[in-house]
Amino acid sequence: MGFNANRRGFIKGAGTALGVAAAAGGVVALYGMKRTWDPLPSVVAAGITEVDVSRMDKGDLRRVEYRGNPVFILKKDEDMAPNPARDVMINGEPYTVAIAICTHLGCIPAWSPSARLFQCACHGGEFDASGEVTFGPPPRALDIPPFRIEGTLLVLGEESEEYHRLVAQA
Amino acid sequence: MKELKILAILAAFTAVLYWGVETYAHKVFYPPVAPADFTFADLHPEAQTASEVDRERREVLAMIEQGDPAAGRIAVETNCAACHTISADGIEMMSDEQLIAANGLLPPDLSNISSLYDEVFLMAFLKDPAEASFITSHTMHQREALAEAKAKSPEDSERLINDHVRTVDGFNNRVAGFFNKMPGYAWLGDEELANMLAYFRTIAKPINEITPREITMNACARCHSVDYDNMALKADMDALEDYLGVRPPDLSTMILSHGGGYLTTFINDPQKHLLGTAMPRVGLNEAAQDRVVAYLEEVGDPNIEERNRLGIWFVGYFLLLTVLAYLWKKSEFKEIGK
Amino acid sequence: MAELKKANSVGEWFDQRLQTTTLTKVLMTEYWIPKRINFLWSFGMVLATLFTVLVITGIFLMMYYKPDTQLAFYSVNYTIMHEVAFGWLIRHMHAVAATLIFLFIYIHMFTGLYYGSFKSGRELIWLSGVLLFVTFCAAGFSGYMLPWGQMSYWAAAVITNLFGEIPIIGPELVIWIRGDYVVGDATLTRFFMLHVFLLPVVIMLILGLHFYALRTPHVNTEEGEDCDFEAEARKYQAGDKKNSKVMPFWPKFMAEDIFVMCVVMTLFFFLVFYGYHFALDPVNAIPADPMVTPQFIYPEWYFLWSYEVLRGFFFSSDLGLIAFGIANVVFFLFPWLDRDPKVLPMHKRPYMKYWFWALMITLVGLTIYGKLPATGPNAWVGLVLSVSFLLLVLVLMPLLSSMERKKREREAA
Repeated sequence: MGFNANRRGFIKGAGTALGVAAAAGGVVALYGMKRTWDPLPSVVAAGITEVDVSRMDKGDLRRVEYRGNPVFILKKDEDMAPNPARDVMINGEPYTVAIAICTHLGCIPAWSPSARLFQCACHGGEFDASGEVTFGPPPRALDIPPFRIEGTLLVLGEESEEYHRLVAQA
Repeated sequence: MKELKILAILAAFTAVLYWGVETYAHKVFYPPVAPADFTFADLHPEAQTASEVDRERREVLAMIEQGDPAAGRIAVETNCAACHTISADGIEMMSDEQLIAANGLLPPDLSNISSLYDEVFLMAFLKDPAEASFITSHTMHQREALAEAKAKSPEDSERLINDHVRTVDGFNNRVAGFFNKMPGYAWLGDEELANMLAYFRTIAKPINEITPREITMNACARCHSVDYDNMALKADMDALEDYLGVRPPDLSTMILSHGGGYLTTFINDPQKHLLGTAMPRVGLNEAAQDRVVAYLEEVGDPNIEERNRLGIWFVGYFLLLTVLAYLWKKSEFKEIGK
Repeated sequence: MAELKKANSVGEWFDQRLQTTTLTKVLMTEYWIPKRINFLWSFGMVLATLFTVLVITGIFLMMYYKPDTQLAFYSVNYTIMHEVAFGWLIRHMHAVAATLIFLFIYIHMFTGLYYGSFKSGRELIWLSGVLLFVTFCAAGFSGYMLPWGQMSYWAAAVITNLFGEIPIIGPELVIWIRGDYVVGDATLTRFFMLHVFLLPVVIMLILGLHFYALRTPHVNTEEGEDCDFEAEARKYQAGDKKNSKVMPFWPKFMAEDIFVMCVVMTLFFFLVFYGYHFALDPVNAIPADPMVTPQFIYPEWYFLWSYEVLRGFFFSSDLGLIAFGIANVVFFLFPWLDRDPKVLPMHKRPYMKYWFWALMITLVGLTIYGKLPATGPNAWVGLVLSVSFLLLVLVLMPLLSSMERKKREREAA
């Protein structure tokens, strides 16, 4: 009798163990499937844009593509008010780096050098040289993409302490 | 009876929904514009009424009628043949490829222009291509917008005006670059221009003898391709983008995305639908433009005939099934008193 | 296994092995349906028919469609529409059926709501039905992306972006769903898989559950009356077919269904040939271009009402997102939001009849305003409609139904 009870207990234990092991396997398989859906290495690599800003003059604007979206890089000149909450300092000089998509409804604003404003043609929103809203319907300043700085190289797509500092102030 | 009432309610709700998301929404998205104007009335700024436009048009046409084709041919050879071919008269100084290389795009062959384009438009075009093509209307509308802005906030107007003049100037420079290739010939004088147009009349085939594909090629292919009919772009796309600021779209599915009605007013005057568009007005006359739209329909929607023919059979067949199903239902339900 | 006798016919041979006679009885000739119903009860079979049309036409489209951002537009607009024999017909059928199926799903759903067939024992029919609706929405959305026109691309961009608003995991989730930072090739191929394989299979499984869930609580009637199905079935089988309150699924109920199906298919083919424009948005005849935003971006019509609930709270995207979340799950809660367990059609309910029509009008209004640009007065109309919708389903539905229950109990006492 005792033998049988032990045996039953062992079988029950084995059944539970099998169930647990199968569930664990299921979780691992699900994790694997989740990974299968992650962006491919080639896509991730294409998600980083490197820009050398050493050749830019004061007042120059460059439009680069980052993850399928346009990004403005503006080297500020003396007439553009410094904005410690948004300026990206590269080599000791202030730049505005912002995703060139109006925060209102996603149109692409144009830079007007004489007015020193980014103007959105769709609904009349305007942003100053730092990307702050000065007029119109946009709910917030132009977004700053994740960036890291290496000398005069601006790396878009990697986060840095400087980036977190700016985002925290936004 | 009750079932009919239910059906009526369903139909009413469906109809309101359809009206809302199709009919009404489209009217909001694409407000109606004035119909196409094949008299090109804006070329006669002095004329106040349609009849005055008509009188001025008849004066121009009469001048062409009285023009001297022989003198016209000489003027055309001197002024046009360096950039344009006139295959009907054997004037082909360069091949298409050479012309594209030299100009960035293929200047149209001039053999049939008097059948395809409105002659009064051609007269105005020869004098001032940018103005007649409506490219300058971009500037005009910008100035109107400025006047409005000025009225609203006088203190900002100075800056606004400077900015807009800059953009307008930028645009005009681009357009000027484009039209430097086709300069104005107002200096030749009305009589000489009439002679040229008289000459073009003598060589042009009647419109019925020109295929819609040829018309489209002449009027559109220097900026647009029609992939689905193997009509290649007669230009260097990068050069075009430099001139126009955009890459002109392929025309294969235009009839589906915009519809014949839109295309009719749009080709006649692109600024009407797309203020500030880089597309010029090309001045096709009504018969030629209808053929272009018909061609785009044939290329973009080639199954119209088959659709209309088969549809009757499908709908008829299911109507028959409906009748039979109704009779069967009747017979089945008789037994159970429903 | 019992000893097998030699079968005298093919039918008997199968019967010995599959019990086909019993199966036919259970599923067809002795599956009892009440007689007090109207043509709205046929929409289930209409939907099954349209789903079959979608599967068959889908198989043919798949033979020529190429799920690749470089090739997709051409394979649809040229290969299928111009070259394949009857390719245009198959695509029109697929598009029109996809649009009509949502119209009929809404009719079918609101029929269930009107006649009280979603509660008091029939919860699982309703829940599996709402689950089907959600799965069809996913299938519709993934399918709309495949032609890779401007509206395919931008609707996909806008809708996948919605997930980015979810706190904390949002931005990562969007990238994970897309398989790229923007809607791209990886997005297209995975949505192709969802559309042609996973979602149809899931739909078929839930359909099975939906039909099966109907079996035990039985089909509801026009008047919500109780009926002793076993007694009525015995009466019918005894020959008193006229006085029995029930009829068999086959051939009686199907006789009505097939008639309604024929009417719908006549309408369907009329639209396929002569009125398909509503199902093929013209903007989608322009190839997708990530650098050019279309002037107006709107989802397909069947998403418009919930899209408008999202946009309605124009002053706060958080509130809008919460309202949108509620709108998408609230139908699941209907069996419990209705606080009156008695099954009655709306026209017999003193307060809820007004509630029902107010809900219908609100949904139509949301749908219409969901397509219009949300600027100026439209934004305020959207807000009023969105708030009305939330009030109707979250506050008035439990309130009015419990008032009705109390009123009835008072009158009975």
